[in-house]
Amino acid sequence: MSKNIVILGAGPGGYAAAFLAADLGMDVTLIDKERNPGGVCLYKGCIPSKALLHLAKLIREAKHSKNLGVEFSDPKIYPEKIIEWKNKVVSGLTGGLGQLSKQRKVKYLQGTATIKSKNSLELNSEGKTEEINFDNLIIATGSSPVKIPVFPDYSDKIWDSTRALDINKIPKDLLVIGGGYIGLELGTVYASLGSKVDVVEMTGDLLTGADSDLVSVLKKSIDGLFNNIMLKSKVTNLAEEGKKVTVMIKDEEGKVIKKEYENVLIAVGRVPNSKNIGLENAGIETDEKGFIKVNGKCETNVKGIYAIGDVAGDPLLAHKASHQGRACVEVIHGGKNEFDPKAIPAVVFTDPEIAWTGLTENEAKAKELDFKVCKFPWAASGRALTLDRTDGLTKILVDNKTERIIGIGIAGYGAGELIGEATLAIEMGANVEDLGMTIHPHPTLSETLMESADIFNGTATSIYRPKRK
Amino acid sequence: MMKEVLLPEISENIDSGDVIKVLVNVGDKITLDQPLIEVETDKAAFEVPSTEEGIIKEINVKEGDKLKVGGTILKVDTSAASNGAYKDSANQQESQSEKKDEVKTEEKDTNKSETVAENVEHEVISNDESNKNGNDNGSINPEKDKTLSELQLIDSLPDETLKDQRNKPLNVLIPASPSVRRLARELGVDISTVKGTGSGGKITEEDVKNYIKDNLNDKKETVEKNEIVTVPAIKSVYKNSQETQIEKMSKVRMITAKTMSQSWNTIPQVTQYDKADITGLDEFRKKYGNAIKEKGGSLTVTSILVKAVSSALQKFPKFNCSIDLEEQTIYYKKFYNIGIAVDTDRGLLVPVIKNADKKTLTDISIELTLLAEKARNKKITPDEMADGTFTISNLGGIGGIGFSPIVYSPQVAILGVSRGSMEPVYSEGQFIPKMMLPLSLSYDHRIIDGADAARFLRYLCESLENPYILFL
Repeated sequence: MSKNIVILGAGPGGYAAAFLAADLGMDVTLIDKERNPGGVCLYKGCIPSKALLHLAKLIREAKHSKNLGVEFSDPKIYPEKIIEWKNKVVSGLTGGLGQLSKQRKVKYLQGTATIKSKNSLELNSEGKTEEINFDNLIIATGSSPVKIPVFPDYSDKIWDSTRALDINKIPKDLLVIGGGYIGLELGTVYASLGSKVDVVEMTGDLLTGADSDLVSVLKKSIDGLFNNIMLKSKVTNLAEEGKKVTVMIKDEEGKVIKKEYENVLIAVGRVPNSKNIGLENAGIETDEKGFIKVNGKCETNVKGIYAIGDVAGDPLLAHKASHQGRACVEVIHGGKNEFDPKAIPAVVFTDPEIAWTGLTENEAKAKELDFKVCKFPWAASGRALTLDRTDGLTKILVDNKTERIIGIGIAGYGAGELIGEATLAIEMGANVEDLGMTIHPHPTLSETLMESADIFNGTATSIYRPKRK
Repeated sequence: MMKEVLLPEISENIDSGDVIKVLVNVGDKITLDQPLIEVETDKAAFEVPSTEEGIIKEINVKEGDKLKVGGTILKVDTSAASNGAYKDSANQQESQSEKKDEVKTEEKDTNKSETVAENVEHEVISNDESNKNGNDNGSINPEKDKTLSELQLIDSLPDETLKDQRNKPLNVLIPASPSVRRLARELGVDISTVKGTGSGGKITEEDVKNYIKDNLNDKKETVEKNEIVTVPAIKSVYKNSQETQIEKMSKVRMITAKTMSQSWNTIPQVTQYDKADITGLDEFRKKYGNAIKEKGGSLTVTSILVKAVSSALQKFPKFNCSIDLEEQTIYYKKFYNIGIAVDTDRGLLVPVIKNADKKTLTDISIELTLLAEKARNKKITPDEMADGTFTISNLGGIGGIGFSPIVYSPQVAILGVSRGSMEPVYSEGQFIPKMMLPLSLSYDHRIIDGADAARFLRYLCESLENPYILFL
């Protein structure tokens, strides 16, 4: 079988697909504009933001320890060193991926590409163009921050998430437009580093889509960290004036307030990178939002052309992209595979973190399922007490008929690390009892999963929740 | 007045049946005893007659439904019985859309008409859908194609399944781990149809493999069935021929085909032939025939044979047994229920004379006449065809000099009767004209030996030669 495969975009979806295809013995070409694989996730997304959030956490914990009898002097912050460290993390990872792709004999081409037909594309690399034919094409071009037309272009004052990650100064005040996970994570970074951070969110709650009981755990803590959170509010105008950005905010009551900030971060969502890549030349269909339409096998409407990751639709998550990419390659390789997860975990790396997997309570209600919610507040967790972080909640959604776990949500310190086990439980089709009867190490936060499970039968050890008759 | 027609009591141990055919449409004018639906139980298929007269306002069942005894089949407007405004439906498609209009303008009982409208709409939609499928597949029978493609598990990619996820249970509720789901995909199994045997119904690797195995077995069976029913080659050869009339097999035909194949494939059978001198029997019939006729029965060779057979079975218990090879067990039955094959326009039906050993020849003659008539008029119930322990098939009325009937599993023997004729029989130095009746006894050679069969059949012949033995 001499069929080749070309992958457009080397983010977590693209490189995972490329590596698997190479491992399966296929002839693989991977195209990306960066020098090494990694994509938004590694260069200007997940990884750099988490590096910065780590620093933010150190600062907050050092400050917090004062309450526990250990006081540190105020931190000295060196933005250029932070950048250096962050870049080291990024280059270490992306360089590693470059190595891996060489070892696997993946043809890595740096440049931009435009699809020319159903079996060819044009590569633009350092001013030279080259036509590349493919038997199979995987489009993995990802997504970009939304640009709101009425707002001025991004600048060193008005940031998108990419600019916000290149910390060269700590602004005195920062307005974050958008109360989604990107806005809240980056807001957390700057707030911890000393900025006065305000958030403007159009809807009635932060993290739209997440269950409100989880979000309210976050809101309690974020209130101390952020200066002001304005819900149901809208930025109507945005303008750079001298050293400041003037912002007109229409608040909940419809009153328009004028405010000034040193910097503004716009984080109102992401759009698929499906324009200017020549989809029309092959007749590839997209939906009204611009996402490429695919089926469970990641096939587009054009035979031999596939799409994965952000460009192929929600949820826009790196780990979704990589699994989709691997499933897609198996399809191309002739396996009868399909991307059919039972649970895609989502993590918001705020403080505390919020994570969920499987169905959220909102989704389960919308689907009119017969289920029970078992909540374990972290105030009853020994480990949470030793961390002085009882601001947490673990909840499990259980299908009443089968007693199977259909969703898990966690808000609390390190929730992101706990959600892996939860996802495994759902993927394995675990009954709530399976989770309750699995020995969890003491004292850890993972016990909160076990205890929530035991609440289903009213027999949790650390909390008295008799079963309602 | 609106009246409901309910599913009547079918038989003692049966509380429900599968609707296999709906014979009427909404708007049809029906008469008393007109067959409304065809219902199948695990014992037989039969038609359910109407208990009301009038115009059908609502049909509450559709093909494939399971209907409980006492469940509503349809609702009839009895006041409209004499109203001739509704025409019988000739063209289904057309009448359906017409009906929809009729129903919508009906204002007497809004609640009810709404349900009807929904029902009809639903029907129309599903019709459209199956038509669409049909076009997609380029086939004339989408239903059949569906089952075929379901059976061709290994060969078919799950493309079709991907397209239609609407009726699937929510992914998160399917209790299978990722590796098991992958296995299912690779084997082309729709995981949502696999039954889990693990704790809490979890689907294991074995469950998926067993599902395949079971389906392969099914497939094999179907192929065997197909050898009789529709070998793909036959379909392609005759599909476009204008000299061929294509007809769907009736349920009775399908049941017959199935039981025959099963018996033929599982029972090593041998047929023993003999002839009975029934010269004396004819006199016997003339002598007693009229008396029985007055009581509503008819003394036929068959009714005498029923009596003779029940007596033979008591003498040779093996012929009234059933065997279970797996359990290595023989079940000797102490009841003697004789089935009689009846030729009807729906196909072969086998009413059963129960406890023939305890009944007089008169009783049997009357019952046989009644049952045969019921069978021909589609009035026979599954109960009246159940629990036979031996079967008689008499083709003598038509002709023939002999045939080998197929043992009707789990019975172990069957008697075939051909046409009797005058033959010169050499006796005491001369040829004497005798009425000779050819009999053939097919038997399950796993349990019955040839000598036993010869003895059994001889005993039968002798009891016919001297029917008075039967009453000793």
